[in-house]
Amino acid sequence: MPSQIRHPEWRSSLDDTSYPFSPVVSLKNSAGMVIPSGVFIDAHLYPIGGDCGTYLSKVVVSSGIITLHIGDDGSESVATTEIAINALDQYTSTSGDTVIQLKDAYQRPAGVFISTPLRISIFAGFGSGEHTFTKDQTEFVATVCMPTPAIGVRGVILPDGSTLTGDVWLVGGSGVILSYLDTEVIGNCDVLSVEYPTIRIDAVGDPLFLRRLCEVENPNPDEDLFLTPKFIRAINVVNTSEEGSSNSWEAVPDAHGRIFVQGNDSLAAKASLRVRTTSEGTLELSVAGSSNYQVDA
Amino acid sequence: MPRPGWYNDNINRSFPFLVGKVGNAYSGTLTSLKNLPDYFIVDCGFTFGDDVEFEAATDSFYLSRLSRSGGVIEFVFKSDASELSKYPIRFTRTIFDMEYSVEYVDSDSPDSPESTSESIPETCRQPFWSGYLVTGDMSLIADALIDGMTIEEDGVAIVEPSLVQNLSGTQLSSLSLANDDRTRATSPCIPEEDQYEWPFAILPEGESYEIKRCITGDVRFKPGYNVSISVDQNTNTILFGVGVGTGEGTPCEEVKVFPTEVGPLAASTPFSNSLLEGGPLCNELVRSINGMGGPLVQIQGGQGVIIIPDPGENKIIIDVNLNNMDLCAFSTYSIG
Repeated sequence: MPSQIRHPEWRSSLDDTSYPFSPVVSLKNSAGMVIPSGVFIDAHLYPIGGDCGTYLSKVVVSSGIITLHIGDDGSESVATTEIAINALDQYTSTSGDTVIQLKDAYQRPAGVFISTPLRISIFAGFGSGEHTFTKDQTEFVATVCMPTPAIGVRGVILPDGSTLTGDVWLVGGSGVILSYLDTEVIGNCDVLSVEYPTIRIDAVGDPLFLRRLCEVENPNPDEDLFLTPKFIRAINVVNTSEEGSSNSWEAVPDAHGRIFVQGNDSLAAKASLRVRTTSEGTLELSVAGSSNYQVDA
Repeated sequence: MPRPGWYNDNINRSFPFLVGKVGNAYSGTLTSLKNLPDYFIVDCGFTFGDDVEFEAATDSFYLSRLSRSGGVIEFVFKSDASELSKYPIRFTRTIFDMEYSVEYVDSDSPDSPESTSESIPETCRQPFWSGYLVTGDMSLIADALIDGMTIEEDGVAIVEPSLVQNLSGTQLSSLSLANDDRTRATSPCIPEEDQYEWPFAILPEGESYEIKRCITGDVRFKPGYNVSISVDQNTNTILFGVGVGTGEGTPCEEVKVFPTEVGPLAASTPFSNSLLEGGPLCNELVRSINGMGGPLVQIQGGQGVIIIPDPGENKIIIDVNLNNMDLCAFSTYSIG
């Protein structure tokens, strides 16, 4: 093993500096609150859509919770983290580092502070309330700031505020059908044709929606709320002649599912068979004529 | 007076590893990563991809394996984050590489064909994590690591936690399409063998038919039947609306939930249509008789007519028997 001269370790070489804060900042706000230069051992800040000049913009202390905000030239709060002073162990790894994950408004990772329980607890001494700082007071050195570009689609936000990222599935359901078109050609002034991956959305409904509703809302899956009806598809009409022979034919509905029963046709202009519907929803067949029924006087 | 540079500093201290985790003195042969000399690795950094679940507070990443085979030396980094641990990053060097050689490498992905039976398009495969490694003087490394040696230890050579950029859940990498199954008709007949049959496997409840995986690039949404799409630029919102006749209007035929969908096998259904859900067309059901709709239509015999039901034969006999009516010996009137 070759002999060597060991250089100061990375962390200890920065112990007496304001790192990860810039060496030119005061670390003191207008109210006189001072952030000790060693409060953080290291940091790596990468907020999505972050701008230049990342700095510690606000420290909020309330009943055992310390909230740190980082800001930049574009916003005073691009990411935050909440630290429970009484539970610093949960942020502390087996190596003894307290690693505090910053997250943005959509709960996406936006960076880390490296510290120790002892160092971070200094913020508890700030007293309850908001303690704000400006960029020239708490700017971080550029090497720990690596804003992530916010180009492209970073996620889909749903009405309830949840965010979808990664490979997002779009699923057509309940009468909505999605389809994919390989190419779509669109012309404009400069480009004759452009090919886009295209998602087509059709809302065509569900013809058997009643069955679906019964199945979805059924509190007891073992019991069918929906029984498939036994439909009448046609009426088989059988005519029997006086000689006893019979012939039959099938009366099928029209295009709208209707069947009509009527009591006469053009060949029997004076037919006495009457077919009528009553207000009670009854199809009544009767013969017109006088009755021989005698009513007793 | 010139001062040592960044790499030069690091070949003489623990960085990029935590102090005390590596660089412990040893004699003889290098057999443990605890003794990894500082000049082996002078810098490294890692970026976690979109699918990684990494808890910065508790999970760490470390040099897991160091091996030499002939003139090739392999450095393998892993993390103790659950799934991440299965997909290490492997850097390779030859003993003839220059001092401070830099290499950028991607890890395997759970979506790669070797890792899953599922066919994931190449455009959708993303490395779990990526990283770079800067090594020191390879001649010194070759001297310390004898040919055929492999050192493998988890959780020893832990890397400084600030050397990771965790981009988990920070981008919409792709879109995939699927459709829920349509509601399918069933036969009113109870026996199983009398149920309608489809020439494809019907998915169980809760599963969907996959249409397209991993759509990337500039995606366009197109309104189809009864759909309108608009954009609210103030809120950066795409609004999907539904209204009869909007978009491409009202469909004249059914839209398939997957491209090869067809109706039930003809032999298994009493209907001669080819409707995808297996139901009847409007003209295949009696929906009303003389304007009276179901589900129950009552037929009543009035004067001179008797209705004789025969449920066992599914038969209704309409007997125009002129019962209780005055009848002439000869009549010019027709009954029906």
